[in-house]
Amino acid sequence: MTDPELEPETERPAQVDLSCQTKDLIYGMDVVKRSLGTGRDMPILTGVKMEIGGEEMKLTTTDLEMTTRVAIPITNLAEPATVVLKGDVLAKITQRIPESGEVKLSSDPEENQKVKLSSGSITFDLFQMSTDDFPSVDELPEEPIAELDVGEFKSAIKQTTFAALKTKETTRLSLTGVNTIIGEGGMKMVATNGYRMAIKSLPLSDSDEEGTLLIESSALSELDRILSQADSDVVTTYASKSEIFFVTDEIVFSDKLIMEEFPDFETVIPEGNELPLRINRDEFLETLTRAEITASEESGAVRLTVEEEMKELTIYSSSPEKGEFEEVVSLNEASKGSVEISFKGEFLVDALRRMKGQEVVLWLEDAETAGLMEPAEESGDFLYVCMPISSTT
Amino acid sequence: MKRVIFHVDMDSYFASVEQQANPRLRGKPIVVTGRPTIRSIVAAASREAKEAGVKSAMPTWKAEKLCPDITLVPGDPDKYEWVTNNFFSILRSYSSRLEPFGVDEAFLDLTPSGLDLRSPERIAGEIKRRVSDRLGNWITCSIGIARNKLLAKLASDMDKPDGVTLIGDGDVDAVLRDTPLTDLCGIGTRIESRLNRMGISSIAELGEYPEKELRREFGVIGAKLKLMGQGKDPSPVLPAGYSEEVKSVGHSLSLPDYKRTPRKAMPILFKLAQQVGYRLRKRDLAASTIKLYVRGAEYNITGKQITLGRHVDDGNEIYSACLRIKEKIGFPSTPTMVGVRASNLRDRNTLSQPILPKWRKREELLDVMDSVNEEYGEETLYFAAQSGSEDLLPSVGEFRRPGDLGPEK
Repeated sequence: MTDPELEPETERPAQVDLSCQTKDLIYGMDVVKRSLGTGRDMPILTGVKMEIGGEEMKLTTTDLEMTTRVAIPITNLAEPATVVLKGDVLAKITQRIPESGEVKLSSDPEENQKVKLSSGSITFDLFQMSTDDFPSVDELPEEPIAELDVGEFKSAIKQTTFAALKTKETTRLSLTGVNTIIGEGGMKMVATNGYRMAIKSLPLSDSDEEGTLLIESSALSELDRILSQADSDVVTTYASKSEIFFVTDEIVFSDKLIMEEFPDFETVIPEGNELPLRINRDEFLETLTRAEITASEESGAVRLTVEEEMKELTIYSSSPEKGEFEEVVSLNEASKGSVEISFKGEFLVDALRRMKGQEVVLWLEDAETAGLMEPAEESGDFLYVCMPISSTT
Repeated sequence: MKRVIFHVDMDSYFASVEQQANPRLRGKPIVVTGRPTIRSIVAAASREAKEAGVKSAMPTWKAEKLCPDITLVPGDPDKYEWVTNNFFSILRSYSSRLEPFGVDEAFLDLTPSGLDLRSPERIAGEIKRRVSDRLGNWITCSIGIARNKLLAKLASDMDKPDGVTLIGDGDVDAVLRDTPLTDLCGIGTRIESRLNRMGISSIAELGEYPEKELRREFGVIGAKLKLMGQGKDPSPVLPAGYSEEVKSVGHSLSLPDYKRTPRKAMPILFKLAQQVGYRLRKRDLAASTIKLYVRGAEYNITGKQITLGRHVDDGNEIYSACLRIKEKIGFPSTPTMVGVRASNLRDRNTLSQPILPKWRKREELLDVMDSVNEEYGEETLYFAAQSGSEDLLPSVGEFRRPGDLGPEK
């Protein structure tokens, strides 16, 4: 006979008995679902860890790069416990059960491999994954490096991540990141795909921190999505040597930094462009989307032509298969010089969509020099550099 | 869209090549005869011989009679092939839409893509200069520029040798009025006499003739004749032969016994990556998918490809991609063959310029390396990382030929 007193503590299955609002669980799973791992090498990464406390349950998912944790309110009738359930299964359940009402989670003492999830007359018996296998999540560093206004930060994310290189396989990993420089009372975020670059500056109140963090643009986009669901005005940022953390009241989102050096972006900003074109942003954007229709499939090139002292900009595109396009857009002030330059239309459209205000200024020099575009109103806060398509010979 | 078509025609091709190769023949009447064994027919006459009335396809005895001090030079096909390759490669650098027409003529579609803002005449001048720079100043070409192949070919013949003729939209009517029917490519003396019998004696008359009746007389080509009479020719410039669209560029090498370790194979892989990069740049292409494949001792081939988020034509980046693949698939302990392949190709000129000044410098560096290597032989300049693999140079390469006809400098 084995003495029950000698059984190790961990062998005893956790007892679960809790209830929560269905909408809270839906919200929680929606926040964490994108950080689930694929489980190809580590099956446990497909799990969502549920740490059940007195009044809240923390849901955590991680793919070892990106980690998301969210706390949702619960009513717990048992002792604190931790279980891991299949993340995609739980995510699907939360999408397919009625949003109103309550969800109950309970473990069956008879069949302790499973957790029962019920909502009204719906019952799922879900297999548990091994709690011990779930990787531990890194501790938050002690001191935050910045407090960010959620609205401002979200728009900064939108104004930079689009410009980064979007790919899983690359020989230039640094271009998949947004270089984030904190210092001098502000934060600068920079992203480039090698052909165009977006630079956004944000003020930081009472920050004397300094440092440069290369953050994966895909992680920032995910953070943007999460912050849209969350109900917080402020997000606090922490950083360790290899990881960045974004924290709100109920969410901790972290991602491994890209350990590469970002290109020296200051050298990219053209300084001698002397030809400012002031254009109505909406008009310019609409014209460009029309020009994209007949732009060459390969290059997507659209050509911009201005003549000295003229108050108009001619936009032209052509491709042998599709035809030609031409439209004249009025400038808000007469051009100081003449230039003809081609850009990939998509690159200009991308940036114009993310600019604010009525007017943009496009600074040009000649056919071979990068164009510099900025919104007239938030001049200096958002800069966009776009390389031309070189003339072919 | 209004097309811009070039017809580039070498002047007195074989004869000029021989005069370029042998300064003693320059300025003298010569004819190139057929193969060394068949000396009876004039294959090509130099411009000096032409002045004396010597024509192609004339029996050599007749040429000698017309021009007693003429020199007969036996043809040398290898030499002409070398020149032709160089000629076409210059043209191909202006447009991938190149249609070779024989060994010494080609059509080139230079319809503006909205990118090259120079006038066609300036481009023509540059082509002529580059042909002479590369092949020697005795070798010249004449260029015709028009809206279609028919008129471009007509134009190149209007100012020979060494001329540039543009038939603009406003010139077409006058040209059609004044040009004999047989000057049109496709109308020989037999068709001419049939047309004459129908009462057609000029191109303009051909253009005005009812299409129905031309069809009745000539069948399907009747419609084409009608268009020709109007100076029209909708036929596209069709890239042919080796200018066909390239889907991928690759290189592989079986390793000799003494290179069959993963460590020793790396410089070879590096070199293959550089060669793939060079061939991409040569064709003005850039690739976004890179494949690495390796054969082990049991002749088992493993390979994997990755698609980068951008297009590359730099051997170093192709090599970096190979290293990433190697991390994933590993390397057999006894590699017997390594190969690199680049696909998902795009015209390099359709890409925006690289944003970082140092990347643009890198492009310039590669271009300089390429031109040095073209001028002085493959691997005159190469990166130190591939040292130790020099002896493994593939012996056949498009631009590696004996310098029997080196350019004059």
